[in-house]
Amino acid sequence: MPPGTRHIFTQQPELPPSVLKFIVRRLILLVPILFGLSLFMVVFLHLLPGDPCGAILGEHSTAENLARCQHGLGLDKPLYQQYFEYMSGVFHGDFGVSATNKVSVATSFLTRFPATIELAVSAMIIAIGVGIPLGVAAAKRQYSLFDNFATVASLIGISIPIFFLGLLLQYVFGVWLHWLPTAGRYDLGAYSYDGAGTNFLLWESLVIDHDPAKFADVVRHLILPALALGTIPLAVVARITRSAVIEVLSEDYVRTARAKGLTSRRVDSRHVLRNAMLPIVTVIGLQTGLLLGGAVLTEQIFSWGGVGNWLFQAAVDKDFVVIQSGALILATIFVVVNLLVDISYAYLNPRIRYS
Amino acid sequence: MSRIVDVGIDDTPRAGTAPLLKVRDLRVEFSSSSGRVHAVNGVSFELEPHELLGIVGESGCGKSVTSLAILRLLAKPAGRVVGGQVEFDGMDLLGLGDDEMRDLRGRQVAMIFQDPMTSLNPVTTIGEQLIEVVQAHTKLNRQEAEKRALETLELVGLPNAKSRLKNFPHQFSGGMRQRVMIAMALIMGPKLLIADEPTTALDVTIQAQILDLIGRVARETGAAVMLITHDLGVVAGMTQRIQVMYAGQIVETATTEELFAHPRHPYTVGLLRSIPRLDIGASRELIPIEGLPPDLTRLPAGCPYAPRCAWAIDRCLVENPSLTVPGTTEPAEGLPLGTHLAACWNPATDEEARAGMPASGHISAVSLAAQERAAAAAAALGGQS
Repeated sequence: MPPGTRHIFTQQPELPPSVLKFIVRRLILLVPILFGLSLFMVVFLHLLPGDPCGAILGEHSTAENLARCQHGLGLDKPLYQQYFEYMSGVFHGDFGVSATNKVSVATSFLTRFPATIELAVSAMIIAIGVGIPLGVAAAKRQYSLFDNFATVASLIGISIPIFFLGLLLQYVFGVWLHWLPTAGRYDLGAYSYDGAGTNFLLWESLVIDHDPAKFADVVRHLILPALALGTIPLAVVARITRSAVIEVLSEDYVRTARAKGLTSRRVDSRHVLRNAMLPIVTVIGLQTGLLLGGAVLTEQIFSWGGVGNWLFQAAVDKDFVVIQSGALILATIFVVVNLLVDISYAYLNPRIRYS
Repeated sequence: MSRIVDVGIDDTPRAGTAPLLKVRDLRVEFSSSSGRVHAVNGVSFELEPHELLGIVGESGCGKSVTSLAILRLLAKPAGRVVGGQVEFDGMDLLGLGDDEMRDLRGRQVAMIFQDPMTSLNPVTTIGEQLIEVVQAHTKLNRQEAEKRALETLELVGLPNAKSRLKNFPHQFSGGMRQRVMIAMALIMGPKLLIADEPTTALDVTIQAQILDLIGRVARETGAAVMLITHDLGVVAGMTQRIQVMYAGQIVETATTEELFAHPRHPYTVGLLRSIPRLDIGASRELIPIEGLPPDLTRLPAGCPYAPRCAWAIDRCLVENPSLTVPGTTEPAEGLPLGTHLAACWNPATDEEARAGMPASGHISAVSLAAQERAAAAAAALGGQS
């Protein structure tokens, strides 16, 4: 091999320096992304008609009151100055204060984010845990009745809007069958939660409170929103898995693996799935980002006190600071998730060099 | 449809060793969008222990499919064996249970594939890929399996085998990868090694090395070899016996020397004349075989080679010949292995084979047409015969 084409992973699980360099470079890349995004947000939010004062004071406020409110929030300053002040705050770790309830954005975000994480992670567990086996099973029985059924189901899953699916689930499992609760994160009548803990209710109920009944209640509340949010990624993951596995199944090295006399389980796990994982992981990363968008709708439908629900309200109130900061934080999370995906490529595919 | 071979069942023990592999009237079909593809049409042959057999033919003649059918590795559900028997070391392979068949692959019958670039799993180390073969067939622990992998890599002449175990396929050159493939095939000490075009994807400079290696390791391990190739030049120096396949049938078989010296089937004659040879000199032109192999979804009633054959007589168009001693109707049954057999109604004589065309006298309308085409082609190439 000529010099310069030496590949990074001569030994597997150590993290070689080139990967560290890669991570640092990607994190540095985050700076222009966030700058661009914040500029975009500030400019476009101010292009929209209305401001938080309209929402705070209502339709019939006087011009003086409006002016006083705008002055109090600094909205009468030139836009570049507002942007500069906002960004200097962000660089000092201050994401601002909500115009409507005067709570700091960081505090609101931190109390609400655990709810969103619980929902998003549950949705992703459903999507991956069901989507990958479904895709593999469909691929191995290509064009069978099962495969056709899975294809149709996936297409329905991809095309059904979240709000419709959410309402459908609420109607069928809540209103009609009375199996599952349709709103909130826990039964407000039976339990109270003071918000003092981590707000990861699964963790709090099981590990801190040692209360299995409460844990079961939290899980029951989680099922429908997680299903509503997880259905699209589930369908996408199943489709990608199916096509990736079908492609890999026709590879020469799979035939080699069979000719070596390996059991079909070993062929599937070691040779087929490991090679099919690259596109699947890419899609999982992208879907995780989209999940954050889907969470806005899902949280709204299921009255889930998470980040999505909060941002939705901020948008209704034209609460500029909350919208800007919320978008910046979510964008950072999105970039970090996809960075993790890219790093995982190195483990999945030794041919990749980070340069 | 009259088929090429109906050898019948020869249960009388042959003088000498019992055959290792006995294939009888094997038929393989593929279903495709354009119909049923008759890929292998009644192939019968035997292979003795330690023997090196060459199987030669153009791409699509069924040579690879035959070997995949033996290992029951045909692409499912498109490909299936529709008739015949495969007996290996006394076992009926087509009737074997799935798990017994799995254990037999890699342990008793191993295969080397054409393209070492795509035949190794790109995301696991070659050490892992070797060790898993041992672990699939034995209860050896990892250290013992790794030791076995090392020994086998050394056997195939891979330098720095120990450090190379941790490398991935992309860190090897094509020739080195093929050595790894060979090591993978030999690691369990199989009785039969099927090498499917093992040098086709390699640089010319590496081809001879790999062929030598296969020959040497076969001698050292005592494995019989089925060497599948489209290139008669590849099998010339290596094999004891050659079978020529065309359109899913064996059309000629003989010892290697005999086949090169006295080809009888016009297709073999054509193949031999299309090999570049340095010993004869630049004066001899390479003569291509005109036309294309038949469409395997619609096989002709007669000899499948007749439409391209200069020797073809009327009978060739209506009746498919079976393997006989050339020029006789003596059937192939019971003859010792290595007997020269050809499936041809009008086999070439030595002079005709040297000339590359039939002596005039018994030229039919069919072969005239074929000759005209050949002459036109020769003229187009600016040559003279």
